[in-house]
Amino acid sequence: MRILPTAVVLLALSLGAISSAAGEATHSEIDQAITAAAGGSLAPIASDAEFLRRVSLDFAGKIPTSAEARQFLADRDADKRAKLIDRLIAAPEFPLRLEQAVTVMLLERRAGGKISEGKWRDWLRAQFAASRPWNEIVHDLLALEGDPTATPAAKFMLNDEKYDSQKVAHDVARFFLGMNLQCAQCHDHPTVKGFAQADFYGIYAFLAQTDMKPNKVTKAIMLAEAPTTGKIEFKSVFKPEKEFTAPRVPGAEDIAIPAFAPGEEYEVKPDKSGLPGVLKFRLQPLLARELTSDANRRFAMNSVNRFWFLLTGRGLVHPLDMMHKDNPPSHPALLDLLANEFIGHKFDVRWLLREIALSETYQRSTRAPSGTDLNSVKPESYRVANLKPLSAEQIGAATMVATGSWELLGKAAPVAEEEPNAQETKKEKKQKDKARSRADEGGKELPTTREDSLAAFVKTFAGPAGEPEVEFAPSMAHSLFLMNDRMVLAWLKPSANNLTARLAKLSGAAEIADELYLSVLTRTPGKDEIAEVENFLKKHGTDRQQALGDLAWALLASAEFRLNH
Amino acid sequence: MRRSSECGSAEHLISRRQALGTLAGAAVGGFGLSSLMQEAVAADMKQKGKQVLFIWLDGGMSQFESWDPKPDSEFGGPFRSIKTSVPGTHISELMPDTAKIMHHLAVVRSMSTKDPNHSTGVPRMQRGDPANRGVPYPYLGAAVTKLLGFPANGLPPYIWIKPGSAGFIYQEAGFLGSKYGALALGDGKPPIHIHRPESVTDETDAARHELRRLANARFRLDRRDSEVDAYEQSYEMAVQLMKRKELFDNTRLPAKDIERYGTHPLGRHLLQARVLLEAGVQFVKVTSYHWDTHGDNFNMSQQMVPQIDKPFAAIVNDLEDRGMLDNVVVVLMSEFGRTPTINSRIGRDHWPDAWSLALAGAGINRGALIGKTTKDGAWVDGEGYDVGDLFHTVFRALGINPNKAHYDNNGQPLPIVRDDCFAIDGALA
Repeated sequence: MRILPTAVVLLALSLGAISSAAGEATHSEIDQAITAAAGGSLAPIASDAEFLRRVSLDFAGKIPTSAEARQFLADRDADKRAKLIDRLIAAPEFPLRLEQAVTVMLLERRAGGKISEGKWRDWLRAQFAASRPWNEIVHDLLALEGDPTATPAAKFMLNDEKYDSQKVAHDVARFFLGMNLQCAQCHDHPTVKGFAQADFYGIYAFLAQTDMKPNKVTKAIMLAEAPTTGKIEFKSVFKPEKEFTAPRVPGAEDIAIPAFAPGEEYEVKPDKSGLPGVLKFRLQPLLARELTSDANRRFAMNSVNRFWFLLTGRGLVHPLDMMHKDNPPSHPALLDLLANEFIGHKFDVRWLLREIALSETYQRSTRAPSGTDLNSVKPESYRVANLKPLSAEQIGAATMVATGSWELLGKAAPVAEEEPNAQETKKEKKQKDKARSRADEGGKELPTTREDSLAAFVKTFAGPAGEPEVEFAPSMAHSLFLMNDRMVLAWLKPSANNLTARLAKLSGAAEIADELYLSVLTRTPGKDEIAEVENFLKKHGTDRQQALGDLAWALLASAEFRLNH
Repeated sequence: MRRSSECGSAEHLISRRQALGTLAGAAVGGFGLSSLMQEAVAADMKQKGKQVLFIWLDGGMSQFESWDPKPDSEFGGPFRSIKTSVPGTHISELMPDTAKIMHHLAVVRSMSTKDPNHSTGVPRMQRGDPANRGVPYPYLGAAVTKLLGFPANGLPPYIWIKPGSAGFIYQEAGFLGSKYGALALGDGKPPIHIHRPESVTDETDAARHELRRLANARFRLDRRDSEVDAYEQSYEMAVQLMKRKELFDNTRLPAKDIERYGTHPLGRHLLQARVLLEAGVQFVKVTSYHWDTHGDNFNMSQQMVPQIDKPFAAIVNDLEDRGMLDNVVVVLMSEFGRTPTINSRIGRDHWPDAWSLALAGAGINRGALIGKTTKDGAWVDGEGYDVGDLFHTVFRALGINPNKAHYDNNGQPLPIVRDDCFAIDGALA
């Protein structure tokens, strides 16, 4: 059958596989770039089981059930991996997983401010569910005015009690431009030539006129911008003279500030009642527009670098917020290509993640070919897939799915929308903490919902507030939690159709090992592992229920479970 | 007058050589000889079993109200100086207990550092101000853990006792990798979940951990070790610490000790530090906050300095009584000192140019008083020392030759100290 050329294009479009200039799919170009620079042997493609676990954690934030794993492993379709990726992207867990990952990235486990975390999460999840382009989402985080509590996106700028232009400028530079300008707040970065104090103040100049002001009538806190009078003044601690900068996104042109006669700055003058008025010229929306425009290469490069990191465990530029000349990308042409294509695909996150996941680079094994000198395998070579630590949310969800508690706990009844009342939230938090610590001390109040159970994991496994979660940082607090927490141990007791209940119904060691390994580690056991299960059950046969729980616990506590491999 | 001496400056190097030339053989300056002996000790690698107590007074303790009083000077403040157990050495009257143990200490009055800010000064000081190598350097506790190795007792090698929150502070490990981070105990309390539910018996516990170890051994094959090592370590350490729960049981402490150390946080935390050092924890950091006396410096000092005086003297005495002082290097310091000038709020501001710290214990020259400041206390009179010099000193006290030992960053050797700094003259035994 002859297919008309237009039909081919349409077909390609519908698959999301828009070819690049060279006429090749981006995922193939990823592999060419990685292979060309590998400098050593590449790991083979991961097994179906390893791929299934990896892509499920990356795209759904949890592991598959043993039934789902069996189905995928038995599937003879040669195209089953691509189909799985598409299924996962279409599933409701996908926007949830992206929301969780991006929340960790942008809020860094900081909690506070006037906007509840729940509202922020709902909003962000809805953006990903609706496939909003990434540049538009970021635009919405910054182009704000009026009552911030009416706009959950405002949490990015208002995650503290007060609005702090310096902090927002610092976050904008780090998260959206790959520039950690902390040092550049007081002077040009001492070692990074590209990070100038003027870069920091150029961003700050867009934000400096914005502040929170109470509306005297409604008492609502309003985010309002005051008229801009001119350039921003700053002074290096190393130089005697003052310096000035116009509002400027690093690498872009200065923004010209129009002059208005005093009193003429407003379209609608500020109301005596406390309404902020409407300015003729506002800077903050300009920051949102300039930062996220196609012309801003840095934004596109930083964006693809961060999503690349999410899937491969290592930024093409690493550390993620050190994108400068002296810290070049491991694969400069690849970063360029991905940035171009991301812009070309209108900042479509689904397209980007799908292309990365389709690549052999993503699908490579985390095991080096045997005989490889492991010290010679640098993480930035991607010769062997990098081990990625599970986030707190992933560990929680994976533990629930593995033990079968996911189904048993079910979803919480929808709670009435939280009032943005800081005191009440604190009080609630205190009560929850109290309940948790009572549980730790041997009380009986165990969480009964997925949400509360997940909260217990997040409390233990989340990184410190204000720190990016990039490296694997296992701690004794994590291991003590898995060893001794009553909630976790309770999940290992047989109940309804949970893991240990299913295991208890099986008799042969091979059958038991099969269900156990597929449920917890998403793979079938090896011969030695079946033998281990058999011997363990023999040795501890007097209390079979306990022995089955111990076998499951050991896998939950293993490095294989703790890492996305 | 020289304000400060930077490591590596020509002036700094020359004055070292002069010190060597003119003072070698004199009583205070057995420098050439002692440094040769240091080499011998380092060659012997006698650092096994060495421990560190690192006391950090965050915010900057005033040297005028502690180690370097200037009672008759313009900026000296209201407090007098008192005699100590070392003839000729006087310290502030706010430290009467410490005055009695002066013969165990080496006090350096000529610290002269660069950074006047807390946010950059604290990490810079605790990292020994390494030259920028493009990687984050470890804090002292993480560095010592790496250089001395994990002790055989299996206890967490690096414990940080601090007010407030707890957790595993892996950031302190820098490029060494997270397992060298600090286990922070909020208010000295043990980590939550340290108590095993009764439903898990000893036998069950041993059996499940054995299975876990076997699973990890299989996962390791053809994979880099570092992640598995770090994860394994977090369990093994938990297992060890659970066996030593009594270390956190304050009811076991004699009432007399509690009284000697004081019931305020710094007193309780130093007593907890003693218990942990006795148990064999290799590096204990104790942090106390709020030493940043920009306002009301004298009332604040009157209230706060005794809170370090009493328990500091107590722990040095206790370590000595237990025969541990020859084994434990003790460092008491801040990120900088405080200004001689008194501001309009009767406070003293940040002053890195001339300030003091105290050392004691293993390898330290007992009773030494090192360096001096000008009459008004504003500047170092003579040789000044930077934190790079302090790191040389501490490493040498631990039996590590800082010019020979190096870190391995994925095959790239990195120095453990600034190679343009030197051990503080006269601080080492």
